[in-house]
Amino acid sequence: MTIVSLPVEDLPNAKSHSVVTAAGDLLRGLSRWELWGRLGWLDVRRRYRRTTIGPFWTSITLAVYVGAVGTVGASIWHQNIHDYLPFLVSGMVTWTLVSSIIIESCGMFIAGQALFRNICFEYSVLAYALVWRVFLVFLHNLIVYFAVVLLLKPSVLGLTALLAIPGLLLILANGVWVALLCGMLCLRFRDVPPLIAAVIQISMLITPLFWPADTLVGMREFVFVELNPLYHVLDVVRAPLLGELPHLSSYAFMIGMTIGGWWLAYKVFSRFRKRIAYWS
Amino acid sequence: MASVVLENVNVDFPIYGAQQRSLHKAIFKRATGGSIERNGRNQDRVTVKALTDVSLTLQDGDRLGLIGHNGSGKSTLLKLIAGIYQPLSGRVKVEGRVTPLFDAMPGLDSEDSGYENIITSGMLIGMTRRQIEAKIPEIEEFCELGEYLTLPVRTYSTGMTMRLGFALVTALDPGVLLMDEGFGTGDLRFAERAEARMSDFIGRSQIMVLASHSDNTIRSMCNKAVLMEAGRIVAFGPVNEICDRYYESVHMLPQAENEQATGVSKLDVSNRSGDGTLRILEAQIESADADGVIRSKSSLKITLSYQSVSEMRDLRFYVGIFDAKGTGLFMLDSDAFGGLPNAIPAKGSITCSTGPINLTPGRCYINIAVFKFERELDHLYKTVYFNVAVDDFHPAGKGPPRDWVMCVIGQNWKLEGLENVGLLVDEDI
Repeated sequence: MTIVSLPVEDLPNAKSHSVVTAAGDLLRGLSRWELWGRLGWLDVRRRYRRTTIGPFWTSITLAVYVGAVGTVGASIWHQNIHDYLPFLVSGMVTWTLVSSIIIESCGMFIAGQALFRNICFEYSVLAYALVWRVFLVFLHNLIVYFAVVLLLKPSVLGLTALLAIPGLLLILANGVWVALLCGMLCLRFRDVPPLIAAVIQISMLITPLFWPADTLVGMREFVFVELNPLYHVLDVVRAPLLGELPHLSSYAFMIGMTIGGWWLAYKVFSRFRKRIAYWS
Repeated sequence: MASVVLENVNVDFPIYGAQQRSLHKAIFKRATGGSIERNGRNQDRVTVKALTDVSLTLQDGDRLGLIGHNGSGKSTLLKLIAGIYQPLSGRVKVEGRVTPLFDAMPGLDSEDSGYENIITSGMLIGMTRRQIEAKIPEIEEFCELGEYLTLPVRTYSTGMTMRLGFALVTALDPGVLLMDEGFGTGDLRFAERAEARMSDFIGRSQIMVLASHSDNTIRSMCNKAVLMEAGRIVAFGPVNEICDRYYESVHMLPQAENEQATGVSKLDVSNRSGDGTLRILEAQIESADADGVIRSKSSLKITLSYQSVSEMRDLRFYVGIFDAKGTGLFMLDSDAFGGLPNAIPAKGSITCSTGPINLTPGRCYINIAVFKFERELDHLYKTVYFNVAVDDFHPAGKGPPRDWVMCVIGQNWKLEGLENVGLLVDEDI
């Protein structure tokens, strides 16, 4: 663990183990992909150790959920099941990805205390591991998406669907800063995790996830769709998965959020990174 | 080339979630540890000053012992050097690879197999997968876990997990090695070859910093030492000098309370065992000299007053006289020398007179024990301290200090064939 840092003019070629800048932490953390890749992968595996179906339990749960809610929802929202189920499943896989990142980031540093109180390593490794872990689960869930879509509406699997990849990358890029920011906030203020959990639960209902965005009109549409960040986050992945183009406003919003979010998270991270060990 | 440089480092711990009430109590109960400060509006922000203005420079070959009471800041200082804590102010510069041994296997997961844990922990410590895989044969050989390495760690006994961690950690290139006491010492006992491996491991390190509150551990493993008190470095220097000072601060605390110039002391009963059938009530150590001062060649008169429930038989009184550092000097034994009647009354006092003690000037203490065969009735440890005063045993005050030797002896020096030019100091001997 030799990391160059500090203004060490008087020590030529000096290497210090402690990263002093936040940028150093983020970059060096990223370069240790072997470590966070392993941490993330082991986390997924541990959850399902000694089970026969393993990580596919989430996929099965999702499949049952989508099947049940989809059948009921199709009649509530007066939708054709061939349109509604693919809509619901592509929304749900994306939603699971996003909400898992947010909810799990609350416990990221709290759970990592045992590590960073005993060894010195880049805090960002935990954030990368978390996003990687959630992404791996997402890949498992994607199977449900393919199953539903192939069964009910194979036509959506066109070239447009590939647009989901840049959308996904945007979500993951945002995931890292969300993890860092939420992780620090929740470590310092232990009231935040339950608050975030509550907010996520409510936003699941008020975001166009179970119901199509165009069921709302006028002011409500503006508030719950246009002004709803989670709608845009969903849109950049869900729309391509349904063979549609995401709204430009969604891309604009996502790019803005990536820049703004990273700016904020970086500010907070560089200001308080040194205090993380003390907060634990 | 490794180095550790600390410049005016301060570390404060903010305390969150501490109830004001309980914290208030904590402050007054706190005997050791960093000072607790309150600041902010309403005095509601509470911080513990864990390290105050610490400066330190270490070079290659330094084996530094951190010694001090619990809560004196030893572990915090180690974690600061490890980069786990960042200083609030001041600078920490560490050159070289750092190996902190606070947790032998960071990230240990009991569901993963031994091999998997080796790789995870190794990566967390900072090795690449390839580096760890190169070390695996060595680790396998040393930990002797064989097939167990393919099983989940939860199937291991504590000792096996310890062996695995030890084998992994000692396979590293130590560089700047940081150890908290438990690690090297307690866990070392699983095998003698572990000890050999540990000393080889320490030997390979460029710099070692070991925190312990045992001066013996520090003396045996370090060449320099730092004495810490309440988050400050109070002394830094050669290991023996610092350890002596620490030793004194630990063992000589009773000086002010129970010692008088004459060498007559009150009983300190804070450290006592025995079934209590008989209790020593008072103990006096007096010099047989006219002025009552205990000197190198004084004879002692020790008076013990006791009380028990009834008349007792077959009692054996012991008085052990020790140097303040714990070296045994004399054992006074009522049974070996006789003189006491077999039956003694329920309450009374017993005296023991000794020959000249011939001790160098310095502090001593006594232990008192009363036994009835194997039964321990009363046992008092370090119950009375006394001083052997500097005297004229040696001409012109040339006597050696207690640090050098325990005893003095009369001497007669002469050059063969010439008149006796020396001075026979003590005709009694």
